[in-house]
Amino acid sequence: MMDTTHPLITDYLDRLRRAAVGLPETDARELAADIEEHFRAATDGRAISAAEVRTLIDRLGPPEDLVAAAAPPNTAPTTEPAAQPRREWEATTVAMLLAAEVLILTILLIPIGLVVWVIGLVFLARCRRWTSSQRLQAGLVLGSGVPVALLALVASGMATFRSVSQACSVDAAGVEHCTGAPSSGPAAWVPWILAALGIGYAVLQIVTARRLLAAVGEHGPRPKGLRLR
Amino acid sequence: MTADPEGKALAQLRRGALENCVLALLAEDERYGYDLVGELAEAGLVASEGTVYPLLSRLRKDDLVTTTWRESDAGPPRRYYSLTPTGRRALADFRVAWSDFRASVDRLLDGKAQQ
Repeated sequence: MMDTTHPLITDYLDRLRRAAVGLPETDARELAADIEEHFRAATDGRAISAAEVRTLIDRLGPPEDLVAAAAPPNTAPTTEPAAQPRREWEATTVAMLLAAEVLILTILLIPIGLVVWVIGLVFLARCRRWTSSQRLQAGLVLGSGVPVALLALVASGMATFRSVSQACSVDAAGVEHCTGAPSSGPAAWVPWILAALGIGYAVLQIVTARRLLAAVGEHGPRPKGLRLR
Repeated sequence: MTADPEGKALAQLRRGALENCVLALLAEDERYGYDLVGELAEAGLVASEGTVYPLLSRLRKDDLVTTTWRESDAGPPRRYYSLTPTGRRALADFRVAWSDFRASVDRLLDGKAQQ
């Protein structure tokens, strides 16, 4: 009985398996099984000549072509990305800019925060699916986080210095005397105003980040694909 | 491989349409993989018959076709391919898209020919 054991067929299957080493294992195994079954169906249990086997093999094509057809289609255009734009790049940029801001506020991790901020700005410049005005908006609202955080740290540092540089003593009459700074320091409501501004700024950043991420790909270049209509 | 531009254009057209031709063949009836490959080759739609198998496997992964093993009179069981409801919808979409596409290309080609 002539089966898939013809030397030419065995040789073809060996070449196919060698060519398919780069494929995911299940894909390689399935391809080999399909081709083996093709040979089995073609010979259908009867004896066929070497010439017939050669014709069969010619019609199948070189094993390398089969493996190329089985490889993941990384060059084939699809219409999926247009329906669901991939926004990993933009999301990473936003995450880095906001994370940098938080790192600065920890004081200890300021150097890391600065590095993350710079990388985030470089990423921002390459967010091509945002329009230039969207990139500007991201730069002004999200990219400004690190300078604002640094300013806030300096301001609070100065306020702390002012309060500790005040030396107060109580005299025999029970009256408090302070030196170093005028007793009429910043009014008590100033920290509250600053805290409110800080919260407002954080909310603005979050709202802007969400809006910009939702708008990814709306105006940018569409992925190439076959557009029929 | 040929550098002939006509051959290249044909290869690209084949590549774009082949998947849907497979769906169209399966819309009539379920088919044995070997027969399916033979029909596509006979219709001049594939240059290398072997490349149909990876395509079938991709269609199966995308849930456009499904397979069932059936006993055969001679030899081991055979794998039969048939269309899933998703495959049926994809084919219906392609029918509309193709007829529009063909009309557009024909208009352009006829327009050029008349000038």
